[in-house]
This record gives sequence, C-alpha cells and structure tokens, in this order.
Amino acid sequence: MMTLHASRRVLVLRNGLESCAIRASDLLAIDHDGPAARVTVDAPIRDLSDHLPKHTSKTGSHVRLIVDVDGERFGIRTNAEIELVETVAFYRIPRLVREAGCAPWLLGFVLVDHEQHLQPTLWIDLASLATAQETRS
Amino acid sequence: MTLIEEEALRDPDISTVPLANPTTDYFTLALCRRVYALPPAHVEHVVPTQPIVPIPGAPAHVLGVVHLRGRIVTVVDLAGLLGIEGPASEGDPRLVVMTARAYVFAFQVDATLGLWPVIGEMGAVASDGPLVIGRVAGATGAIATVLDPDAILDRILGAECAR
Repeated sequence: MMTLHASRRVLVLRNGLESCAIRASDLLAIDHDGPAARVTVDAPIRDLSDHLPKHTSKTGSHVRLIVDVDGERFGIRTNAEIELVETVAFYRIPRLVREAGCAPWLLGFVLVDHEQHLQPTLWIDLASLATAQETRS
Repeated sequence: MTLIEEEALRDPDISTVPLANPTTDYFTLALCRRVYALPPAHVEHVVPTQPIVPIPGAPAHVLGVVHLRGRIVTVVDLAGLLGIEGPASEGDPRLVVMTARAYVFAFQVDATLGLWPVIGEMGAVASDGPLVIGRVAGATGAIATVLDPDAILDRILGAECAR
C-alpha cells in the first residue's frame, strides 16, 4: 500500500553498497564533524554505519545529521554522499516484513531514480534511530 | 419416436463420462539441484532476478525487498527455509512471486521448469519436513517435491530458519 506525503523531497544518503533516505523536513541541520562542528548536541554522536553495516565507505568526509527529539538534539555521523531528490513514491513496510520483524526505526521505502532505474531505498526515521541508540547505550 | 425415461436423461452440467487421464498442473522449479512444485494458483508471476534491498533487523530468511510492478515485494530465502544448500542448478535464475493467505512474497530459484501436468494422485512423503506435502511425477518420470504455500508463509512469519 502506498502513502503519499505533502513533501516528497528526501535526502538520499548513498554510501558503499547501501543507500537510505530521510525526509528533508525531519532534519534540523547538517553540521561539520569534529572540531569544526557548530551545533551543540545533547548526546554522544553516533555512527550511522553501526546500524547499517554495509553503509560504510573509506572515502568522503564525515558530517553530522542533527535531529531534534523532544527538545534534545542528537547527532548522527555519516560520510555518505547526500543528495536532495524528489521521490516518486513512499511505501510503508510490507505487512510480511512488519510481522516477521525489522528495525523499529525503519519507516518503509522510497523509490529513487538511480542510473535510469527506480530503486527502492530504505526510508529511515533518524529520530527513532537516535532514540534507539540512546536507549541501547 | 422413442420415449426416454426421466431417470435415463443425463444432467447436461455434470460430466458422467470419465476422463481418460485426469491431470493436475503443478508449477515446477529448480533449486539447489532439486525439483520443487507449487500449486499454480499460488504463483503470481515470474520475473528476472534483480538487486535485493536488505532490511535492517529482519530475520535471516527475509533477504530484503524488490520493486515489482509498482509494489514493494518481500524476498525470502526459500533454500534457507527448506534447510537445503548446495550448488545451484543450471538454468536461468528467476524470482518467483507467490501468494499465500493474501500475503505476497518472492524467492529466487535457479530456474523455472514450467507447468507439469501430473496424472494421478500425489505421493505422500514422511520425512521432508513440514513445508512439503507430497511428491509428484512429471510426464518424463522426473519427481518433484510439492511445497505447501501456507506452511512456507507460517515459517516466514514465525519459525526460526531451518538452516
């Protein structure tokens, strides 16, 4: 079943063998990583590749994706290529996957035009991922 | 004109003439050098293989999803669910999309072997596990193991991977 949203703009994070997408409107800021960072965060910086194991690359400089969860700021580090795209469609998680089990921060999938092909890409909720990380740590 | 008694008239909607060789069709496929069969009513379509998007946190037998004809379809590891492994059969790998109790899912096979018209009853099997409901012989005498689509779905949803 397909769900359409008012804003179809997503940030696609491409890295190594895996891509994922987040809604652009869910992001508070994209900040430098390391000493040049400008946005203060309320929790230790986490790494996206801890949750998406194939989402790693030795190239590219790291940035922090800043999200706000109930007034607290969380930073998630990634060295993915970040691209703002207009998605063709958002999909919920298929019922079979939902019932078999998957990561709680997975919202569904978006279709992204990649090299002339429409590819399903993980659509993730960075706020849930940041909270899950916080709970786990 | 000869009068025919009422009891002797045949019902036109019911065949009373026995068919010489009644057959049942099975959709057959090759996986790990074995031949499996499915009731064709459960097979939605067959498509070329394509890259599968893995799902974080999913069980090992849920390989990921693909985008097919406007839908996101879950791909499962049928060999893993059956607890079999081995070299792939020769052929043209395909994704078989099937349905069971309104769930849609796909699995990769080494090749599809088409519909087999099978004469007679399905043979019973005792030791091939809960996903298997019997064996059938094709026209050439080759044997296929018949899988139970509902049992496959139950295994995907609940049970641990057999491998």
